[in-house]
Amino acid sequence: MKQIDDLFLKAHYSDLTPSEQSVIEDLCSDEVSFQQVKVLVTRSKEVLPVNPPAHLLEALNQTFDQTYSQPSVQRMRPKMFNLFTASAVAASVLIFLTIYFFGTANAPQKQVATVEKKEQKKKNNPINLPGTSEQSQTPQLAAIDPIKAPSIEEDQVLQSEKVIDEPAAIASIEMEDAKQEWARGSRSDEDAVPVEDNVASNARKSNTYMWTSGDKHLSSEQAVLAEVSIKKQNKSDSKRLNTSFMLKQIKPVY
Amino acid sequence: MRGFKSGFSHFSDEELMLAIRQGEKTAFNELYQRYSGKLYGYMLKLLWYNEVRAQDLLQDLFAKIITQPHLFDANRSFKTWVYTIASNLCKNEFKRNEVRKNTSNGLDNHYHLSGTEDVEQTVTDWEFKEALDQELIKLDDKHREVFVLKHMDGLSIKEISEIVGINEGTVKSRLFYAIKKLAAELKMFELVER
Repeated sequence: MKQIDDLFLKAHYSDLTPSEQSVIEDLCSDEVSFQQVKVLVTRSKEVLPVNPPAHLLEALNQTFDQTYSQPSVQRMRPKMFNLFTASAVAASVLIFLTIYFFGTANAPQKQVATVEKKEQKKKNNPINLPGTSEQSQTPQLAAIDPIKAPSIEEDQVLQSEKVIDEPAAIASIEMEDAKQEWARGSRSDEDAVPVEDNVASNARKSNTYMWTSGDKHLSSEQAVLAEVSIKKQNKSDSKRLNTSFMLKQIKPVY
Repeated sequence: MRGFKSGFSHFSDEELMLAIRQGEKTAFNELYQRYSGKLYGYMLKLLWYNEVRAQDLLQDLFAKIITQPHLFDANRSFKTWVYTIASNLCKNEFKRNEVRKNTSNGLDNHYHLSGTEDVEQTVTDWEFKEALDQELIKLDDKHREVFVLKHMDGLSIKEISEIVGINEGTVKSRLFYAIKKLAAELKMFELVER
């Protein structure tokens, strides 16, 4: 069709070649019809565009403002979402770091505390092997401030040893007395009192024996008797002990 | 965006559409200046010069450009796309049978006389254009549409086939029929050499 349009750019029908005339043969077959089509094709392109009224553009501009004022808020949403996301991530990281640093800061204190407890237990433990020296333990406590136990504790430890030994000695003495009493024969009311199996063990825990041991004026020989195996005596003699008799032997302290 | 933000005159139609997507009002105004006259004239001719309906459809068309610019495929020609929308809007109007042929409605307002030009030539042009419009109205819709797109809006056969949705051969045959019909009706006008 572009070729046909170009054909009508020529001035006269006679300017066309026979082949070109055959192309537009159906449209125009002579000079007159050629000019008619030429007028139509040429001048119809010269028709000026019709301008729409001005209020149409104003209405469209309002539409444009309304359309792109709302999306401006919507376009802020992703930014706000990113802001919220970033703040949430930052807060979580802050919380994590806070927990992490506080956790690491408290951990050495706990270790120190546990080591201190272990040290106290070791010092309070009466079963200290003579072969174990302090130097063998110092590397474990090298990073920790050495804790010097007060001298009072050492005395308490010695006293505790005495506390452990004194009731046993008393019990052994009382047992001998009980044997003598048993050889003489027991009273009927004394048999009514139930026999306690753990008299010696109970006596060991009681503080009254510690303070009453001075009143009994124990000799060194008697104290040596306390070093005898307590367990064997307890197993063999605890059933023979008469509690009521033993309670009578104990004098009150004022 | 290249160039100045306010100067979109050197932008292509497709670039203007991309700018409109980003909310550039100036780009929309530039696009409106380029196509509003052609589309309005096209719609007027297809709607038998019903100005009210043509203005409504033109507003709908540009409103669609504003609100739904994403519908435009940047790989496609904007000219073809916008004329396709205009053609479909007019076809929908045909189907509704709401368009009333009004041959004398507002034709005088569209053509402006310029004092600098030759008055005789201007009158001749005005007479020819008025007669052409009258004969276009008498044509069938399909022949009128093809002729307007080809000889008044300057679209190619291929573009017309895409807009109207027919093959190029059909476009040529319709165009041939329209030219022959109109030339016979407008034979009283002589060609003025310029």
